[in-house]
Amino acid sequence: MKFSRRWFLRSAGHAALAIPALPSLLTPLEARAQAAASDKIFIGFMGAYGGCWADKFFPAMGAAAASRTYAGRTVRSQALPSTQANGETVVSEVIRGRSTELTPRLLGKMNLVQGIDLPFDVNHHSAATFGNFAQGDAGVAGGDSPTGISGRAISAHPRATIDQVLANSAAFYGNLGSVVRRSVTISTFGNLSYWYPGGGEGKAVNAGEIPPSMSLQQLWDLLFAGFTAPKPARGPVVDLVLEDYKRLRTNPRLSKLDKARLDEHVARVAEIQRRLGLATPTACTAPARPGATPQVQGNNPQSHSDYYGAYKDIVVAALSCGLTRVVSYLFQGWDTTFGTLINDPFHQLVSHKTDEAAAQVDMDQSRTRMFRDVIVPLASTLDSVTAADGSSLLDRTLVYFTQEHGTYGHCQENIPVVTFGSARGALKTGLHVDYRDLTRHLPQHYDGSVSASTPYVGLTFHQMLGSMLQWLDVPKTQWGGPANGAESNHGGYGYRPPDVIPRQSNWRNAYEWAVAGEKLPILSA
Amino acid sequence: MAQQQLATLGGARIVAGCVAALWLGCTADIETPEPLSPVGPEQPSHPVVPGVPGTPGTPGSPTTPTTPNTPEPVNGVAPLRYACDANASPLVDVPLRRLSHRQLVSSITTAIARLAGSESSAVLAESSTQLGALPADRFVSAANKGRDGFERADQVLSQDQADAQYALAVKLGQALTASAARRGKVFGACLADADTSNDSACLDTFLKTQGSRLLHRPFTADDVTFYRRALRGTPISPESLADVLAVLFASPETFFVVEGAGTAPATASLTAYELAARLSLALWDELPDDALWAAAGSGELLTDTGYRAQVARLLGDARAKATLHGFFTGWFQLQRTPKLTDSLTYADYKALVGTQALPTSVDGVLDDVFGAVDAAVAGRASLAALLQDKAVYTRDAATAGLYGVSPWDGVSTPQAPPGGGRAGLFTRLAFLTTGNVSSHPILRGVRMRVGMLCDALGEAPPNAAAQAAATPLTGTEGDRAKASAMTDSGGCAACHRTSINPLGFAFEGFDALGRARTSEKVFSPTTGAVVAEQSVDTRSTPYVLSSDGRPTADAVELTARIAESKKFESCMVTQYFRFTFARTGEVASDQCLLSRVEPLARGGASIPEVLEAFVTAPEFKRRIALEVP
Repeated sequence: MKFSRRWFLRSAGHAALAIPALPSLLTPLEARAQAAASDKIFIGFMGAYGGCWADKFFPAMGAAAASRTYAGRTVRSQALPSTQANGETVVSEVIRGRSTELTPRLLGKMNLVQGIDLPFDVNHHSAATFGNFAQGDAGVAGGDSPTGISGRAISAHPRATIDQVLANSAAFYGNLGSVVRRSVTISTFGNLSYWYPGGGEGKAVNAGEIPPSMSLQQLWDLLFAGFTAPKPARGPVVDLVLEDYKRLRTNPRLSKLDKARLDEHVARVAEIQRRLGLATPTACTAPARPGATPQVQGNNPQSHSDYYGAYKDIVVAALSCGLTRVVSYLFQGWDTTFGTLINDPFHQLVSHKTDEAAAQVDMDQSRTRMFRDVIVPLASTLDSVTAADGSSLLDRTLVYFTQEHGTYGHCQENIPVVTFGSARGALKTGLHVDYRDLTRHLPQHYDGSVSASTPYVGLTFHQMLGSMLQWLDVPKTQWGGPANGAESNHGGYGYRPPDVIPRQSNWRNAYEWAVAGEKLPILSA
Repeated sequence: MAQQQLATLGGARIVAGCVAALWLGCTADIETPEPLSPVGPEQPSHPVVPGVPGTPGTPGSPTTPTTPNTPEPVNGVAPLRYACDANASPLVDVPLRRLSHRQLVSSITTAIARLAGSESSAVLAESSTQLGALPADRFVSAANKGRDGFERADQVLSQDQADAQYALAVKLGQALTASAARRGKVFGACLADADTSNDSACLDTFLKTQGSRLLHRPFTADDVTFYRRALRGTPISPESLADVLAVLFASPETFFVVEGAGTAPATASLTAYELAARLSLALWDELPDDALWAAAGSGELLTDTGYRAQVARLLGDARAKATLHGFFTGWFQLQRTPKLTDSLTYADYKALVGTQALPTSVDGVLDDVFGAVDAAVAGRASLAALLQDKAVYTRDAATAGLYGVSPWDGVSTPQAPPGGGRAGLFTRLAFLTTGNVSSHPILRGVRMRVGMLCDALGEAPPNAAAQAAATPLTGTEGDRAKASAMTDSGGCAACHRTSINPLGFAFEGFDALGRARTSEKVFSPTTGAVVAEQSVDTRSTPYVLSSDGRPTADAVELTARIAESKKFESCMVTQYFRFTFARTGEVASDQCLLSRVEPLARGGASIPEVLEAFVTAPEFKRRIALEVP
């Protein structure tokens, strides 16, 4: 599908139509609130596994790199370098895209971020780098090892992933307008998105799972079914259904926990009520409902690219039409590693063998396919949808890619982050930033040893995630501080476990927690 | 990602390694009762109320508190897993449990049949898209590893569920009122005829009778008034009737199990209708039928005789059989049974299969297990009998062929496979097939240790898989030798050598297709050529009890050792408790109930008797919540 400037204008018109009241009818206060409402977009990507050596994933920091002191270290940055080869724009051995898509313009809207760490063990996970550190399996996987003890110290403290913080944020979604889904998640299965109404503290991790869409048709139905469904002659019965739920709530025999769970469901019925109250979209054309979803074929990595790539048109159309503003992709390791092996063979023979050149090739190529075939085409298309002022859909957006592990299998430090878009100028772009303290190595997780091959101390995901939320207009009052759990001890996003093992105290205390609540330097505008 | 992989391990090609080792604590025989999940915040302690049945020391309580677990086994018999703690707080239920997917679909299907009679098939067909959109449940266990657990324990609430339930309710309302004939069946002739003067009274009658059935509780006048608010205008139009039905089907009481609760046993008794729903959902996975509803209405269900009569009736019904299959699916991890034709693209697997006809679905493999369960239940046999029943119950020719027998005709006495190697339950194909070329003794061992013996196992340390992958191998090793090489040293050894591998090695007499074997061909993974042929060694020291160092020769002796230990029975009690109460673990107070049922199961009670013991327990008939404002 081609997305034209006109498309965007039409969809903008649609969004305006969907606003229930004309601006002239609003009180000054309401008008100010509506004018200030965020229209930003978040698109997240989480890739299974990891273990690309830093020199494969990131370009070398050139001699002209800028440097500044921050958090007791020298952080460095440079304009993203690139070369052209074989029809591709090459930023690093891993990061590359077709020259027609990864253009100089798009490169100028991209960032490579080096030196972001999960400062404790989560082992395998699919949501920790989105903020739910409890979702990792270190607690059960590590037994009574330091890893296990550290993992268990986290696992009892689930937190929402940031896509769900955004989806449920009054600041981000102050004006829901034409939004039919606050968020969508795309995968073959598994969970990336977690939300805990009332907070996650003390809840079971899986109680917050938000299942993904697993086919093009399913995603289309979520977003576009309202375009084609005939408008019912009668009003919906949802008002009465909602009242029925509230009626039950007065049952004196229900416990407080019963009522809390009922409230959770009532909020979802209320969401149905809101959606059913939306005006029928008329100014935005729905793409045709897909006939089939590309089939993932085991060890055929092209089929993995095809599967995720096929969602692009629906996603861009939905964003253009204002039907959602939060989209997350989970590149599931079970069947879509983007490598020539899948599931445990990839785990064992590639992710665990990053010290072997042959295995490293498959790992590198798997990351390249994620970028070249899925992320870059999506970013490129978003950048082609422009508004009257010349800004593009991508300019409203923060695209965030991260993966399960860092520079070797199970390494939870130096997990690469890639971004596209500036979230309406909230962050600077076109940069390669390295936050590592190159004077300090971290101890090895398992035995506490320090060597030249152990990672350098970076900054925390707490700071990365908190920065992103702020770039996307969600103030700390909606996710930080004592009212939101135990985050008062750092100020960034997510739980920080207490120091449970002396050896790991040294490790964890290597981080500059005092800055975790700050927006990331250099990147923040 | 690994935990999600394990959840669907069935068809995976796994590189056997230290993937499931214990890090520490692998000498523990008994899984520690885990915190109740997902209740919420840590539960405060509640006093046990004296004088209440079920409280130890109270007259009428089924058991006297047992001595806490004795440390030393006697003649290979495991100590009791549970002991009642008189000071523990009473059993606390999961808050506002929702119906499982299976329960919701069954309940709606049954309700449509009751309402629409001969039109029900058409109504369900018209609503099939919306029914199909109800999100499925996952198998949920305490560790959330996908190895075991039950769909009922999946208590996640999601927007998708709310959306699907609402869409289904609206569709059902429309479908059930789509014609005068259907309206007549659902509401009675008085609402379908031309006379509109009696419509209002007719609707009230419907609400008081059928409406209350949909919500499985009596209707009050307020209820009638409330649901009448879906009417718009007079006379009552088909659209209004559709809306009434939609609101009923979208009611919270069609989605949640709404039960009043007290803070202590004395105040927490369920009403007759709540008890009817709980019993029916537990044994049938659906809401009460006419007879159970009537027993609730008459008060008979609250009498001991009346209740036991209903329990017996429900257990004797085919719907109980289907529910029990669901229980054994979760406990035996049958959801992970691989489809044997899925890996034929791999050269080594294809070579292993050779000319063997393979079942094209897992149905025949599962039917073999379910047939054994059905036979045990029908014959009121014990768990030990199920454990050691060697007959093959599959009616699928290809599945039977893997056993070397003819398919069962469903009538005659089923055959045992030839040879003496089959030991019963654990040598059924559902426990042996791996979905790829390896017999995977490690994974077989983990499944036995965790799933069948209910012993606690941690996972491997983070570097264990790397250690396994780095193990030098020649490519000619058999499955046992490969597993040993990967795990006999380093951090893996302590647990693999005692708690995991020996249990798996006992089944090395069966290949990855579950066929009996005396030697093992090793195939090239790239060409499928035979690169070696190794003898099979089934001897091991399985440590069924951590203190029992006696060796076994093969799966038959291992099964006998497990039968002797009674751990299979204790494990079943644990698992059926979780299944019945939609729980992922137990808390200390649960042990009073469990400690009464466990000796019963270990003493040779029939499977139906064990089920009865759970649903007739005082704890089943009440609901205790943390707080009732």
